[in-house]
Amino acid sequence: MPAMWRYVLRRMLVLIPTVALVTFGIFFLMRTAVGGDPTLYLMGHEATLQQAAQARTRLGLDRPIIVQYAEWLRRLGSLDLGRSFEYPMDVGPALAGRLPATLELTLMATVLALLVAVPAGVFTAVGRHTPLGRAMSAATMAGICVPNFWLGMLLIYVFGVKLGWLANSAYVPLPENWRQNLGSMALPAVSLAAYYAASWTRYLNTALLVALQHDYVRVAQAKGLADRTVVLKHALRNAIIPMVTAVGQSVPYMLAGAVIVEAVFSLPGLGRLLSDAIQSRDYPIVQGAVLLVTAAVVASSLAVDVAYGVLDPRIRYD
Amino acid sequence: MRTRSGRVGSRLTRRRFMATVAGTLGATTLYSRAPAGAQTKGTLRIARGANARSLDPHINARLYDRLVLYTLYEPLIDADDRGNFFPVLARSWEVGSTGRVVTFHLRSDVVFHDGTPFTADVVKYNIERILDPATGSEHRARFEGIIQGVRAANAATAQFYLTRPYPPLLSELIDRPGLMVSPAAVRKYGKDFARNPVGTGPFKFVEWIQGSRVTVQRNQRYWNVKAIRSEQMIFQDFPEPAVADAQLRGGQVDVVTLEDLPAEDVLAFQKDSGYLVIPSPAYSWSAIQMKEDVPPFDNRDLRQAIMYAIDREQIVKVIYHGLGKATGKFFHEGWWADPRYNGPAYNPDLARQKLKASGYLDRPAPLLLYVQSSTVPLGEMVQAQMQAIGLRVNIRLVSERDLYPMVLRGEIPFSIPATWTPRPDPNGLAYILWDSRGYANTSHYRNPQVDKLLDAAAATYDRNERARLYRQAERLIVDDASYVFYYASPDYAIMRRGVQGFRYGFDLIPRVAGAWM
Amino acid sequence: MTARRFIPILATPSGGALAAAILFLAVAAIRPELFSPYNPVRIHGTSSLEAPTWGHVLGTDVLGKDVLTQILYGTRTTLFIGLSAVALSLAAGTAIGLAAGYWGGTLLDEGLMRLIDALYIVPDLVLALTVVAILGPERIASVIVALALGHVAAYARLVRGRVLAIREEEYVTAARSLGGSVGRILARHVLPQTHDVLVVRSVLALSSVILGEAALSFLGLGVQPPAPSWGRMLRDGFQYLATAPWVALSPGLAIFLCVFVCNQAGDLLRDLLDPRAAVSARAERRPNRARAARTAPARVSPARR
Repeated sequence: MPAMWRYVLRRMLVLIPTVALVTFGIFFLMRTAVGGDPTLYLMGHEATLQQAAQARTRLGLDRPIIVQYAEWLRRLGSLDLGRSFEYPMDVGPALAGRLPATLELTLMATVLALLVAVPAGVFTAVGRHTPLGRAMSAATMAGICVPNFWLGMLLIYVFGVKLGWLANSAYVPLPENWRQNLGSMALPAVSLAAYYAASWTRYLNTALLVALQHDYVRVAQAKGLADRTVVLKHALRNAIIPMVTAVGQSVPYMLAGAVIVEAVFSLPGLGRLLSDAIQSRDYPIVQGAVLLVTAAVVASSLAVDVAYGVLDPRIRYD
Repeated sequence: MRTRSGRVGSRLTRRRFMATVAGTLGATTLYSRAPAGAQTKGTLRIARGANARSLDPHINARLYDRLVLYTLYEPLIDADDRGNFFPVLARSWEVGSTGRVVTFHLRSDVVFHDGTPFTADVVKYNIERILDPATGSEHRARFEGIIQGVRAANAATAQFYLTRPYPPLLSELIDRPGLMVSPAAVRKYGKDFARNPVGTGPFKFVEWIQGSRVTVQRNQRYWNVKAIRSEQMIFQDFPEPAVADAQLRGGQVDVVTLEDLPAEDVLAFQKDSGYLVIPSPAYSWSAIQMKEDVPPFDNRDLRQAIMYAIDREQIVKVIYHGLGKATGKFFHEGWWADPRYNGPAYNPDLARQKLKASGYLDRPAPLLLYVQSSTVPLGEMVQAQMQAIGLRVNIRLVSERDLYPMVLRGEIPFSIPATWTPRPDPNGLAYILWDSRGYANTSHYRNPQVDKLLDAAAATYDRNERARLYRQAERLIVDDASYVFYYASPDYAIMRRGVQGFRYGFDLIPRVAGAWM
Repeated sequence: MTARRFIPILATPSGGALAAAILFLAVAAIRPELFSPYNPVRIHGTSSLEAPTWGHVLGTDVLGKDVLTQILYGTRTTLFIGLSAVALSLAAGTAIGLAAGYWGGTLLDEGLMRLIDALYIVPDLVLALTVVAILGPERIASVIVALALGHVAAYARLVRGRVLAIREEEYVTAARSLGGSVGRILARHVLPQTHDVLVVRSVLALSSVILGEAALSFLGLGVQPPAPSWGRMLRDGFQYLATAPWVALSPGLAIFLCVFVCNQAGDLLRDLLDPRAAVSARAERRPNRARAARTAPARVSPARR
């Protein structure tokens, strides 16, 4: 589909100035922030103002902001995101080290949410007149309103404090010990997934009900096919496209949700790295993490568009 | 339970101290609970309060790094839980008759993890590294103007030349700037040394998963390897105490050492026979801090009014559930503490008198108190207590990270809490905080009498004389009320019953190397 | 026109309950003392961390203050921040959207839309975190601005789209050819066409802002005391989770309730005011085939995180 690739390319070209605007905005604003630069915080209780001034020079913070930004861009050209102020690491490896936990968290949450949402969406559509169907619809409304960090605390309380099992064990990288890893990720993934399970259930339910109004579905119904068969055979196929949109659009919000879920569960993910870095004004880390997050958002929205084309041949990229 | 373990600890300390004095190899008694030649045990998992920042002891290492640093690196000397020094990398030491030369006789059987032998040249290299501005060590101010240079008289003798007699030097050498790094490794790794640490310590570095944990492995070539029984140690990062506690209860960690464990949790674990709660031997203290050269805090009567308005007993009872002590002073332990002095007590009538005398009531603008955002209830309580004597106070929160930088830049003249941990020499804190030249004198406290007392106390090696001078200075500092002291407390380490060999340093940093499960 | 349609809804059980809940929240925000005999700031050293009893239905916090009272007083903070942030983002977003739409296709439009895109691709919470850190967390205004920024883009896009559509309609071109001023045309013809959808959008945005405020407070960057805040209560209570769970868990219920009310109200308003967006939600009753295949159903899940 060359037209599609041309479309993707054009979209990316449009996005470059947008992403550049984001990075410059963050770069500029961080450096003019209330509370001043990070050098004193970095040095702790042994710091003196004179030493902080020397550190400022060493970190290049005494140069004009536009010069610092140009330098950052120049290094970005050679894929160098600079070095963290706070940790003895380059930004690239620091982000890479935190990426697996966040990826795993969001992937697990997505899978969990879909595992709930697809059957629940179908059921609330087919069984919309049954008491159970109505109860499930109500439950989805509740799922949408629960703050994820509160749910996380509740889970820690119930499973960690009260029951003492499935304890939120310390994070262990997946390749090292997958069972322990899954044990440590289960509660955070549930906290993050709850909202999406509920939200996607409603999405799918709506999409199915819309699809049920189609002529061919009505024909099928008229032919005497049971509601369930109609939904599963015909309506569900049509509902996939809006569903893909929903999942794709959720990526940025999932990443934001990961920030707070990782904070609750002390997970070493990208979100916690970012929120810590914002608070300690570790500019290079903030800069790199925001770039990564915006790239992920941009990529996911492109992916949704491309998925449209694959799923629905009627769509033209021109 | 707490008392019992405390007593056991102090008995061992005395024995260790006697052994040191008797001139035996101090280090063999360092981990005195480990029977010689015993088999090694598996892994010890330790939860601590924050992410690792740096494993280079000279640059950027923070409170929670220090716990790990003492397994990887060693100082020339260390202090026991009474504040008495004992030898580690130095077999012995002596102070020259002028008080300006300190000689350390080093062990000659020590090698770094990378095979570099530990010699007097290494000591020289380490001190010069800190003094070199290019290194960017935040500890430079602790040596600058005091250490003139280090001379390697021979491979096993390092001599520190000082600009003036300076007894507190030994105490500085126990902390991060005294931990010895491998010069070869620093050259090899450059700026990445902080995550490729190489020391002489009982454990070798294995890995650091940033934001998650640090793992260290028993060093088979350690000079006192028989004293080390754990095969491996894992330090887990847990910024949230609730999570760390759940981990301990769930058996995923063996030891929890957090600086600010909620008192409720400490009490709950104390009641539980499955756990051991060990308090640190020394107390960290907390105070309300005022900047003396900013009105209205330049008014001593106003400061004293606040000093008498604080109901310390209520703070301890409510905020800390009775853990720790209500106190108005800052020297709590060691040979310099004054057992007959407890500082000012709550006295609302006197507070009102002082407030009246200050004349501040005529200008009823509320004072703005900056409160660290993690201690909101404390701030609210202090606010209520000051309001009770008729002093209106507004609260503004400052994040934990911003509080000290803002105090240091002089942006917030009235803040809570200022918390400091004691050092094994009273000069360590007294000089930097209250001498008019101290680099951490953020209150801009100026009292010529205090300056004179501190100078005199830091220039003599006579302990009794020093104690007398420090006690005098303490009363003056407390009475001037630029710091209003209200609380002192040990840190607590909570561990599963069965963990042995855990000890705290005098500096409130756990020395976990000799511990095992 | 709409008032007449509201009244029958209030008569249904769910509509009535919703109205009662909104009334309760409003009264709690304005006069919290009506519901609680306790002083929200008074410290009771002797009753620290008491478990729930009839005297303290949700227990007490570490300073012995009644948790329920704190929550009630927190309503004001939450609603103040929520409403201010929504109003701010509505104003800014509408202004940008109107300008971009009216001068659609010009350089101004292009520039504004790039700005909006930039705001849009940074996730809300990340944006809010950064902005609060930049403006300084000690001011309530910075929390409001931080939370508002996350919604400006959505309003602006929505309004711009409407303006572009309306602009070509005959009565607008007629007004233009008659020499009507820009402001007048916008005020007379464009705004009335968009207010319905903006109202719906705003109610849903409110729930999202409330969650955002709680999240910021939870991360330690929310409003400052003495203003009580649900998110901060959660955060301060977190350390007592094992020993006094009511301190941390109760404010979460309040957040939940508030968000629930907003979402329900939003859905209800959408049905009333914005039938086009509500179409898919009510597909059962009023089939609409034309849009179904190509467009996703309108966002049914308003609260974003």
